[in-house]
Amino acid sequence: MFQYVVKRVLSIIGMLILISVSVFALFFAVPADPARLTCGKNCTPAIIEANRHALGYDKPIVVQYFDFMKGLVSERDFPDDPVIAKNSPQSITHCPAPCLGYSATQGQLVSTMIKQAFPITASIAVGAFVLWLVGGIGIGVLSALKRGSILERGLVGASLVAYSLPTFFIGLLLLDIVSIKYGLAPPAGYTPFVDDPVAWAKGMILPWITLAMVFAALYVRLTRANMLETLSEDYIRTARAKGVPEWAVIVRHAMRAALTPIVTIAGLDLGGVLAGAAITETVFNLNGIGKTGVYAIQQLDLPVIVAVVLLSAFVIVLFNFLVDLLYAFLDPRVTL
Amino acid sequence: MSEQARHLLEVDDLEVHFPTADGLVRAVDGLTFSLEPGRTLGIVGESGSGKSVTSQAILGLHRGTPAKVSGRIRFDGVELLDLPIKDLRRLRGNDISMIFQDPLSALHPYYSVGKQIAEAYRVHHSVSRRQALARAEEMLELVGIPNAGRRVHEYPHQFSGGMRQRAMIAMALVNDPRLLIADEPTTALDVTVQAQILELMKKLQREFGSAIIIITHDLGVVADIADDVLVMYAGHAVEQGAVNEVFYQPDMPYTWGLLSSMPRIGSPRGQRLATIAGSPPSLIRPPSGCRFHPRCAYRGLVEGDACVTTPPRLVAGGADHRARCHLEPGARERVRLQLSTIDSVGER
Amino acid sequence: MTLSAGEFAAEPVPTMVDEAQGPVAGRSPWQIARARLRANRVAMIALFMIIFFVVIAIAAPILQALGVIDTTTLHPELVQGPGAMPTGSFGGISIHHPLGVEPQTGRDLFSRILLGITLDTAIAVAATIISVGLGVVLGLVAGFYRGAADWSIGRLIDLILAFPQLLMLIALSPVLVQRITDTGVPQGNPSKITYIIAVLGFFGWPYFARIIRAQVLSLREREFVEAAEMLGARRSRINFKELLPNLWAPILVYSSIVLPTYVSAEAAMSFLGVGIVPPTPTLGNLLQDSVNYATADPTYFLAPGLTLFIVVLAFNLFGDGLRDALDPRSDRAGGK
Repeated sequence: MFQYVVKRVLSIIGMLILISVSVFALFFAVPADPARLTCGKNCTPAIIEANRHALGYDKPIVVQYFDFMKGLVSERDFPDDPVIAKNSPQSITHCPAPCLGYSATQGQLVSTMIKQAFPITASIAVGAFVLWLVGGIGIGVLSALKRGSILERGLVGASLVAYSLPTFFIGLLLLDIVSIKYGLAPPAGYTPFVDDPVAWAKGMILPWITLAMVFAALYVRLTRANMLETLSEDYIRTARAKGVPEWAVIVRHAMRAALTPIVTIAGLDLGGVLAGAAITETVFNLNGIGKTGVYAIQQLDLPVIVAVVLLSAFVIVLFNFLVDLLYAFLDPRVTL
Repeated sequence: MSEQARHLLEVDDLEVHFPTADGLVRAVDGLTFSLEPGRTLGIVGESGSGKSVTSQAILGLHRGTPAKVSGRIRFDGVELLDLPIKDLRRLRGNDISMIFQDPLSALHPYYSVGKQIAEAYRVHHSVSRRQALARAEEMLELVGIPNAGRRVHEYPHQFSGGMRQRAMIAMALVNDPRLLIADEPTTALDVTVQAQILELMKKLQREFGSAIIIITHDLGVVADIADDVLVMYAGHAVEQGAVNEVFYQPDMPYTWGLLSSMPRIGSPRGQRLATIAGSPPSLIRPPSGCRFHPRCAYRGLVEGDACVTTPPRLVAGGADHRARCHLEPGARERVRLQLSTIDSVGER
Repeated sequence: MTLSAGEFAAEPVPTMVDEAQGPVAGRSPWQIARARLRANRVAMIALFMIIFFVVIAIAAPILQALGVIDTTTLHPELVQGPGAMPTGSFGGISIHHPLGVEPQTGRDLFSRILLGITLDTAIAVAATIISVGLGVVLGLVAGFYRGAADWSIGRLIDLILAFPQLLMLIALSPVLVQRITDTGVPQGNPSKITYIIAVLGFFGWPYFARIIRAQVLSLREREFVEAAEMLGARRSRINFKELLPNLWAPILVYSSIVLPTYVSAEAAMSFLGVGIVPPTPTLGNLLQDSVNYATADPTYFLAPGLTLFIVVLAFNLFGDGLRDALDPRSDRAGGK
């Protein structure tokens, strides 16, 4: 167990290094000139050149990469130039470790932007996760138990419809029709949970429903299929032959086995959503990780793109690991 | 006490049919047998002959599925087929319990063996978890699992095949059932373990006086443990009676085939095992007349086309022995004489 | 033979075969699956819808060339007044414009949807082919050669799956579209289409590879592969002659799951601003534009959305039917 954790942590670190290298190689090899984007209309080649130097874009990619990696453990200054530091210290942005870089287009530290964005994404993700898990599994189990009934057909059909609609379509429908036109739901917006939990939940309702609908549809299908398969297992027959009451056969025997693999998928999906729900965030104009990333991509704001991709990859890899640990805990046949 | 109450189990004209996309599968058709306390009935036949379906029908395990079960199953005078599910559950695992084939898939992979045995006990007794677990440990010891105190906490996948089968038996016996149904309890096991398991079942039967139905395609097992035997073919009982009579005086060609396809000590080296030509018939459109006729080597000994046109009835051939065949008693006698290898079977 | 084998020497595999009783007899798994699929009314309707869409997809460019439909001509006379909304009722429906015209431009919506179907299906099919091709080859290699090949492919899959996919789809766009243009593909939409096909296809292969690898690992333990090996068949021959036929079912089922998600992905990319841009019509960019008119011009809003929805739904329904038909266990479960 301990050995496994150590091995996995090492492999995660290796994976993240590999990802960071590929991200750097991909994005810093971009044909567009990032320095060109650092100033507006009144740019002169001299200013661009100065900015390029100030932001370190004139250094070779390899050096830039190591600067970035160094920043994760030690502080950095932007621009990192002793001459400027001496002449006008007020124009220097100090970036404490872990430093993810400096966005010249936003005039902000990337870590500050991430710190602001992550609670928003986490709020969307966690609420939606609870909704889709409860809704998806509940409806999935119900439709498996009511197999062949009209109710089952209705539920499965509805989930297939929800599953076939693009996320942004659902989101925009909810936003335009339900919220704006008929005022049936409070408009989306972010209030920190600690400030006002009620306002927080109100502002999150629509994003939660949007995100949850797509996932819930998938979970209904998964749960139903798993339940049906489990209900045909020999050990379910054994439980019935023991005289176990039907509710216990379903809860203790069937659901215990059918839902365990769902936990894996749920964990991975939660990780994926925590890594940024780009579409939902964009639809409801919430500045989470996903929208920050999308905006950075549109602006070619490389430090932000790199940071967001790396952070997202980290969350995904981390959740992969957590899910494997959890699975070993849930399934006695799996040993680490 | 009435005449009927003497029997612990009475199955009368049992039919189990499964509607499928391809048509109605007649898995069991017109099956009748009975069983007394302390006795053992062996049900033999090929895969798909209806053995397991019969045993599951007794426990009412087809309820809630599309399967259609009709006829009568009386346990201790109580009609099981229309017993409310609540009452049936009180019998399941308590008065009638079952050992399933393939214990690896019949045991729940996520619960420890002890918990699963304890559950079977707790369903029928109001005891604490701890008491139930102690009972489970006791049962594991009873069925000869070493280190029961430790193994009670282990999971099915940590048990060997033989151990799992023992655990299954422990689970089936935890409530001292009056009827134990064992579905191919030894099929997947090697010979020594097989012998141990059978010995165990016999011992437990002596102790508790239970009746046993053992379902198998292994005639050796039947000869070893059963008092009566029921030979099934394509959903029909084709021959049934006391083991001694059926094995010494088998009355119909399918049973002859079964008996002569058994390998045994003492047969000449290099002698090939007899096989039954052909494959099991469709249960959707079973052969007309005698269901065995397409594979029967002795059809020619019956005059006319009775085998193809008329289903034979179960006819008494001895004091405790019935068979379903159009062959004349004289013809049967002649064939039995020819098949000289058969008579050594009973010595096992 | 030892004493242990007290079983029948002839314990035949249970089949429904009966020489005397012809009709039920001897159906291959494929025939059974086909019969099941045919009996599934919903799946058959879905199949007809798919065929219908494929016919449209093929016919649309031809009709465009023949001048029967016209996706590009502007009709400023049909969109007048504030906001340049269609002047006719129901979004400007008329004999010449059966679904009305686009706001602002007055282009014929019906023609644009037809050609949009062409592009969307072409993109989805091409991307699926890439995913299947890469996935099958790498999955076969991993499953069959195991060892180092399996390990490297496994790590590569882990790496690809660690990237936040949707974010990568849009983030790579500025980098790679330019690269594609550099290789000689015409600038603009042709490069973008190539890009979308390539990235969707690329990010999709790991799933196929995993499925194929798992199948190969279980299949290669079976007798028929062993038999072929013992008879001296060459490895490559075993891969393609013996294994591939057994892999068709999972490939087909998974393709039917993946293909509609590629159609949705195209729409999502349009929504996030990296998709194919007008005047080239896709269901995605039509929908993306139309959501601005959700309340002002419902016809324009609903037509592309519903079309996209029905295309995706048809594939999902058919995929469900296909999976049920090919899964021999799909018909069990039940009991009390």
